[in-house]
Amino acid sequence: MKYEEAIKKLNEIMEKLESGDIPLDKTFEYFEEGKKLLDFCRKQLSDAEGKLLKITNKGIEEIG
Amino acid sequence: MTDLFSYIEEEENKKEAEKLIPSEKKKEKKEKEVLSVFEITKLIKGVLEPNFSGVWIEGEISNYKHHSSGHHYFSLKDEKAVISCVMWKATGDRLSFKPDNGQKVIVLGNVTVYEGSGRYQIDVKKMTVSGIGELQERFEILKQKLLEEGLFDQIHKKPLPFLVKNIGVVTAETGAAFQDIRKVIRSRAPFVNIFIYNARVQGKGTESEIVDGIILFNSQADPVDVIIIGRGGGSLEDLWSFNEEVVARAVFNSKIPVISAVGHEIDFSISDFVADVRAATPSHAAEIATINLTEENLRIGQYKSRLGSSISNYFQRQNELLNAYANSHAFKRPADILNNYTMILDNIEDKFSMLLRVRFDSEKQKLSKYDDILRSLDPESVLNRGFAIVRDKKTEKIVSSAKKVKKETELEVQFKDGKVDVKS
Repeated sequence: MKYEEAIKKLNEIMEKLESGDIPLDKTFEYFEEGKKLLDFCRKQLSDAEGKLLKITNKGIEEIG
Repeated sequence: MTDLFSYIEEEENKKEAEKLIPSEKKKEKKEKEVLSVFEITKLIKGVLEPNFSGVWIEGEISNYKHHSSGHHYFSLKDEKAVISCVMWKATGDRLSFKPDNGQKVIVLGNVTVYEGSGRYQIDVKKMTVSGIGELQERFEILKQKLLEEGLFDQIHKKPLPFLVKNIGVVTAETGAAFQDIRKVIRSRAPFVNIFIYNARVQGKGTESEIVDGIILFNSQADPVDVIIIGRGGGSLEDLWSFNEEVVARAVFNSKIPVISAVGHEIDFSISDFVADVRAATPSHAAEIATINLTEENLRIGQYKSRLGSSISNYFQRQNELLNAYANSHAFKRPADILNNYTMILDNIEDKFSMLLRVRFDSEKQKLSKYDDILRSLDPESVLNRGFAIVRDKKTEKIVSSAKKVKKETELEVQFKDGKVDVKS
């Protein structure tokens, strides 16, 4: 899944949750899903430094 | 003999007659009128000038003279020929460069014949430095061609992904452009993986390296999210690889979105037109490719609190709903019964408290009556109304009757504000 898809889904879930007209079991389901999406998005933005890689016809090599 | 001679002569004449062309030529020449120098010059002018107007000529400048009048006089030459040129002041003033001997130029001009000196020369209307002019022309031709083919059409522009995890860069690994790109990506979105395809980006043949890079990125099993191609600033020749058709085609055929960042803001290259996004500079390309992490983190934070409050709001609403259910039809009868008891109790309580209040009020009224009585009995209040108390000074007893007062008795009269001694 891509970040922007996750954000979009999260937004939909939020609207459903905030509208309030969904059954209890669904509410927990949505809440759990929203939490997962949120975690996913946070992880995508994590401060973990990306790699610097060199790509050649022979392959990919990490250089920093 | 004469016959023979005449025969021979005749035969000779016949032979001469057979050589028809030379004999006629001789005849023609004799028939043409003789022209004056001016007339032939005028004829030459009439042939040359209309047929050689608006011609493009490439050559090397020699004998260049910028006359004090402002006009430019020079020759254009190549290995085999020389031609004189003149460029009048008005044209010369518009030149974007300073002409010099040995410079290769392309001129646009008209052939003019000068009767006075019997010379012809090029009246130069435009002049560009040969190298740049050529590139510029190639640029325009290719641009027009690809434009007509629809390679620049907006419909082909791929949107950039919102959040990229992997960015491919095709440029010189050691160039300033790549350093700028790295710096910007690291500061804005540190989590991004940067893949560099080291391509020379200056000089003949380097266009194929740029093409190879784009193709290689597209052939990966796990392709990058976006490709940045580009280099730092330079002359038109320096940036030329990005104006080659092969590069334009590779950019166009790339399935991965391409950002083109060639030179400075003012430089436009063919790859800029074909690319999905044109960036003014390599740094700008890196900015376009990456999100602003701070802003995005803020957004995620907002979602988190929204998710939290949405669930607490939900429970609050459920609570209200439960209350509503408690009052619904299913629970109505037992509630009624309960309510009846409650009402009775309430009534009792009300009555009881009313009784209490009435009782209290009457007690209060009594008390205030007593208070009034007590107050009216207070001697001080009598004094306040203007009465006085008379006492026998010796006995200190109140004298309430004149009959009880003997002569020469010392009395004390008490007013509200003091005592006075008197004698009867």
